[in-house]
Amino acid sequence: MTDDVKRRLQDAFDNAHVPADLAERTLERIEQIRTADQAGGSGQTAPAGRTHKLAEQPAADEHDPSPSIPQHRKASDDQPHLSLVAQKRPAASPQRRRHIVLAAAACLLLVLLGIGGVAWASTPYAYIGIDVNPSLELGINRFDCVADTRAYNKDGEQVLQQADVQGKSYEEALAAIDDALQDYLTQDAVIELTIVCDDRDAAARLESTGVHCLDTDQTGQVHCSHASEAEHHEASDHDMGLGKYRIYRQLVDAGMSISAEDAESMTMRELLDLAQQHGVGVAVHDSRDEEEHLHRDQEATAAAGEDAEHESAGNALETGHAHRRHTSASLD
Amino acid sequence: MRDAPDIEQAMHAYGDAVWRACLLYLAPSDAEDVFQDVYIKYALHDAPFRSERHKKAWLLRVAINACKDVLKAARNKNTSLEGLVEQGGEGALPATGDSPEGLIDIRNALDTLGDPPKTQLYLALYEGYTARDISRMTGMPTGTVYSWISRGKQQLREALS
Repeated sequence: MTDDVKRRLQDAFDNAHVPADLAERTLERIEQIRTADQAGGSGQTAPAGRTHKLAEQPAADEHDPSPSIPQHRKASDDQPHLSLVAQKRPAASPQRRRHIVLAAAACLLLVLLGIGGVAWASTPYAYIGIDVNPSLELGINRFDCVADTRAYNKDGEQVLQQADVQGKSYEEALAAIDDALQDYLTQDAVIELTIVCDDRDAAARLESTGVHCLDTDQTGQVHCSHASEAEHHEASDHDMGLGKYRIYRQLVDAGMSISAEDAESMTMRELLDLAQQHGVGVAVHDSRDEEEHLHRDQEATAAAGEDAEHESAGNALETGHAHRRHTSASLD
Repeated sequence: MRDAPDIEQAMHAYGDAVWRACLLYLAPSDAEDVFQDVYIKYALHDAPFRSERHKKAWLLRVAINACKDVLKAARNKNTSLEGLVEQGGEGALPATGDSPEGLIDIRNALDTLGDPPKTQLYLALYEGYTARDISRMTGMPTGTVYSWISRGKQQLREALS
């Protein structure tokens, strides 16, 4: 099909040839230009070619019999005869311009991604709740620095103010908080460390560092557990630190009528004691293994008796959380 | 400036191609002017060409651009396009290279399609250039050239029948 069209084109154009005299005239003209150039030409005789009627003269019909030298054809110009072809094409052809635009867009995209990436990495991806009596919370970003802090009670505020952790690295922050906490640590105080983090490996790391930093005198008074984002939100709604909130939750679920304010005002130690007195298994679990761990905790509570051992929360999580007990008694 | 043998060779080898390209747009009288300008520009173009193919493509590109400039200038001066074509067709000027009848018909058919795709179709169907070459010669993206050519072929077939 296309061949028809092609053939017609070929038939039409194949018969068109450069008129013989045109070729000669053109070559002559070129030689004249060469001579003029070489002479460093001042004047230029009119070439045998025609004037460009359309470009110059308004009356396009008439053919000027006496070819006058067109104004623009001075030999002093570099390209005197090329009135029509001498218009320089724009420096950046549409294609090159397109390439430039594409390159600029790609750069912009990279910059935006970079900025976005930094912004993303600066926002907290894990929360560390610390409850003793002071209740506070740290938001850790992917640079492992404190991006966010929150206190749930006056004491918490005090500690945060003293420790001044905003922007510090996780470890530095914990060390500072540990210092500030000394005032609140009675002999048998319990430090509840709660980690909210989706990334298991990161969570494990945060936990081990946290425990290490806070348990400086190896008295084993640090509890650690993991919590879900949902629990985090709930606790925050109740304006309670995560550690306390969870125990409060368990107490309430077990039927105790304790108010949120009361729970808030008690220390972790007190809350844990209270739970034990009423046979409430203080399971530090994540919601997936709730039943299993409650069961085990209750057994453990019975086995450990009345001793206010904080490891009665015997809960080797089998979910893969690297839950570490740093006291010896293992109830597995 | 290129030497005489060089220019003669270029005229011998590609003169017809340049001439035909000029006839695609202009009446013979104007085509002659453009033809001369193209070869003068060639003579003054000192940079070497990568190959003969490159040389030919360069000459055609210059010719086509020059023809389009003439048409644009004529349009700006309110000279009708039809008037131009008629002039050429009726040989209003001394017969130095009349356009053959068949050529006028084809040119009219192509003109009804507009430009693009007229230039692209000619370069593809008559001169046998690839879409990539054409895209470089006309400053149009390759993909666009493809669409113009495929659409244009169909339209041209209809216009010729």
